[in-house]
Amino acid sequence: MTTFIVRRLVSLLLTLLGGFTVLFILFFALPGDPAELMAGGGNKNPSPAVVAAIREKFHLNDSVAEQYVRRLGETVTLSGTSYQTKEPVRDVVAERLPNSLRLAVWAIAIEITVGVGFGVLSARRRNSFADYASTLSAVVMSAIPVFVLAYLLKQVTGVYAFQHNWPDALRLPPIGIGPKEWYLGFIPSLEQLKYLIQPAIILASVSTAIVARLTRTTVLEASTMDHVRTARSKGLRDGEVTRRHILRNALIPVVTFLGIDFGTLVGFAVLTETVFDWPGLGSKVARAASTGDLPVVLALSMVVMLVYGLANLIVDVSYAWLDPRIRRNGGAR
Amino acid sequence: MGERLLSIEGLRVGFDTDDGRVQSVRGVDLTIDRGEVVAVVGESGSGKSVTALAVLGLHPKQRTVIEGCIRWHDEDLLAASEDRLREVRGGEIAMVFQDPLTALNPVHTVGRQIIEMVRSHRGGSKQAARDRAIEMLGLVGIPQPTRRVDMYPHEFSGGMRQRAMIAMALSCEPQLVIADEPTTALDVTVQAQVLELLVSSTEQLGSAVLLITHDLGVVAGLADRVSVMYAGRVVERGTIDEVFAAPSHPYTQGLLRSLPRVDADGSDELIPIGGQPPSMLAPPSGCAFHPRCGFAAAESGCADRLPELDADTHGVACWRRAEVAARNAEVGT
Amino acid sequence: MTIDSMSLGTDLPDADATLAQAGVGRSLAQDAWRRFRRNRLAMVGLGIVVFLILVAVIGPFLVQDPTSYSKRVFLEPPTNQHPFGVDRRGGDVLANVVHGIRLSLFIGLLATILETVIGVVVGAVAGWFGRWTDAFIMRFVDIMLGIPYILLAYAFITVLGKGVAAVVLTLALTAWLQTARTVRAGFLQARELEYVEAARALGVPSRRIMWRHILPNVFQPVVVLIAVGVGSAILAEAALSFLGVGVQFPDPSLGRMIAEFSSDFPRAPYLLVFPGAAIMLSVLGFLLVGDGLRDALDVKDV
Repeated sequence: MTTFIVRRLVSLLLTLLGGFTVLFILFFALPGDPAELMAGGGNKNPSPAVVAAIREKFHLNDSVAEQYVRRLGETVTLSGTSYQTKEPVRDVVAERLPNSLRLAVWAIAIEITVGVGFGVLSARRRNSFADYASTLSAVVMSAIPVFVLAYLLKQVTGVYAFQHNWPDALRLPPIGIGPKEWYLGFIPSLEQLKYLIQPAIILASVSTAIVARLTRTTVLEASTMDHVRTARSKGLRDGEVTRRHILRNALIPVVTFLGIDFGTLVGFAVLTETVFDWPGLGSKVARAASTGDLPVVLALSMVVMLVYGLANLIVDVSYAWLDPRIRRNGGAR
Repeated sequence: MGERLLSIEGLRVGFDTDDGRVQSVRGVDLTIDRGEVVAVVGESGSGKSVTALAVLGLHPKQRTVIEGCIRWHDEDLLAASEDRLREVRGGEIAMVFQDPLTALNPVHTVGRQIIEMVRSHRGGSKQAARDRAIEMLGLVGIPQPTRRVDMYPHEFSGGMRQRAMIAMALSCEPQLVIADEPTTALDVTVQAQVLELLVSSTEQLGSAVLLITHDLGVVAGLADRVSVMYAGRVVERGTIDEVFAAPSHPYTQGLLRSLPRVDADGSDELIPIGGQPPSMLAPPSGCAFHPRCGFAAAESGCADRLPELDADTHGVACWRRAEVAARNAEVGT
Repeated sequence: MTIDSMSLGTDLPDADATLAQAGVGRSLAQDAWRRFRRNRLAMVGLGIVVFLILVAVIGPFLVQDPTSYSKRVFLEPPTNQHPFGVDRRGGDVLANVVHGIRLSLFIGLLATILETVIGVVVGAVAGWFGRWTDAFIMRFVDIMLGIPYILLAYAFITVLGKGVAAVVLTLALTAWLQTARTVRAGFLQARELEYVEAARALGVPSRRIMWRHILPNVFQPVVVLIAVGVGSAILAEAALSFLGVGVQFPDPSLGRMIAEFSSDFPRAPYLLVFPGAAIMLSVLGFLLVGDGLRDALDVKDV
């Protein structure tokens, strides 16, 4: 197991280095001159002397190789500075990463409760209304762009609810991060929850539909397994059979999906973060990329890729823990 | 003969499919007394396993139609409540399934699967149930039971897995063990051992055995009585001696002729039964065996009328019993 | 079992006849189509796709010019004259949506064709040559897949510029990775198949083995990937345009329209409904067709 983890960590480091290189080359080849960008943005015409000074200061006249090495060191130690806002990259990460993690954690919580719940329900009551509803919504959900869904939700909670004097709990602020009141890092205050709930729902929407469908399939599959019949022949209660012999087996692939999805949600929530103005990693990376803010792009994408890679690694390790059959041979899949 | 444990009367089991009703069992009578070993023999699709599963009510409720009577001591199990059935399952009647690899849950240790059964019938502490599990594993000849109890099914060899399955079935000292093709999935080399173990360990505990198999050969030295099933009906039944000495149904004769015999002098060739097993969606009219039967004759009505078992002890369901018996005398068994 | 029943007497069938049976025959396509037709959801998807193609081809002749603006009405709810309403510029939303669907399909199809060509070539090279070529290519694919999708898209867009052509290239350059993986897996799988081994043993030249066995084996998952790919490409185009880095004004993109309409959103929610529904319908159609194809062709793990 240890060798397996070490091997995976080395492979993750190689992937990070490769990703860094690809991004460095891509953005280095950009037409815009970072020195001019820093000297005054795209609109003004900065004085050549200032541009030259900046170029000198940020070593932009060095060879590609030298810049690559310097950039790599700067990215690994998170010691760069944003071209755009002059903010230290470390501060950007410190501000954005917790926001992204919080949003992702709550989105995953919704996926587990709603997605797994509906999946089990549709499997147990096959061909019932709930089954058709969750199957249909799963298909439709994967086709609606999240931003359209987000506006629809905002229309209900932000406009309709106020127009029709709905209870306070349903009248929600349309955008923003909220008062930043968190207990133990992840539990929002009631006021904070109002800001969190909408982006969390929207971020979770597509995956929830996928989780429901996946759960339905795996539960149905697991229910027909021979060992379930054995369990029933032993005189176990229905609840025990379902819990220990159907769900325990059926949820292994679901847990895998959720783990990988968490890694995705942390860094890829660009649309949700944009629509709700939630200051997470994804929207910042996107903005930095569109303005050519190389230090921020590189540092944040390394963070995002690291989270993604670690989530995948944890999934593989937990997979071995959940399924004893692959525990012995080093978790190889 | 001891006290009557189980008596199945006029059992009919049908499954509703998209293509119509499949009538797998079409009127089966079967009895088992305390401590007896009764074998049910037939090819796949003859309804023998369906009968076994019906005893414990293990067929899915939807789309299954069960008629007749399954009398356990003095109660009809078909009319029993789900709670009562749970007491019977595992506590009074236990099952051993065909393929121990799929019949045991791969994600739980063997010990845990025995423990949950013991506790659901006998209550008591985890430790007590665990001690019982170890004791049972020792009883069925698994070496190092204290270590094996914490291992997973995939870490056992095929024969050991089936021993563990038998240990589990016997762990609550059931009065009857239904073994559904218990050795079919095993290596030929361990089949005899496992069967021997099944019979000897049940004998030790005083449990009766209903042994279901497609292999008439394996029941010879083990069973007290045998019923031969064909197309959902019993076509011949009697004591082992009766059936082996004077097989009186053409199908039984065919089964015996297709067996290799240790005492054969080489001149006897193995003769397979010609033709295909019938489709239970539309079984042949009259005696279901008539299309494959060498004795079938129009004037006897083989194709028109359903033959009934003609006696309580050595019973045969055949319109041409006299001719078949004559052939027996001729061949000389 | 009697020996007579086994056909020892017959000659070995000639290699070409065996090959023809093993490859993709007409019967397979017919079979797949029969299964596809029985799948109700897939047929709904096909209906949607056909409808959208009709809209894209005929629609522009039936609606007004999306770039002509009314000087009198702005932000008007649906009326007889403007069934989908009027936007803040005075443009007819119906005209914009119809042209938007046309552009979405165009971008989706073109990007998917490009992506499939790249993916098949790269995957085939990796799968055919194996060894270090394969190791190198797949390592690269893994790295690219490890980079956040949106970041990769932004990177390409910043290099390529904005607009329709850039979007098509960006979508193709980010989507081929999955196709390459699938094609390569198909190659590796096909090599293990018994009939390929048999063909090799019978002395069929390796180039013919590739054409007659491996490509059909790869062909089916690729067909599924194409259908699903068009749907994903349409969704991705909408997202990029919504974020302001995709299709630019005045090109009629559905995603761009939603971004614009969102500023008038509390007052005129009806504006969002039609482009939103158009995106959903387009994506849904292709996803359902893809699902249907997956079942009909019995393709797993795509």
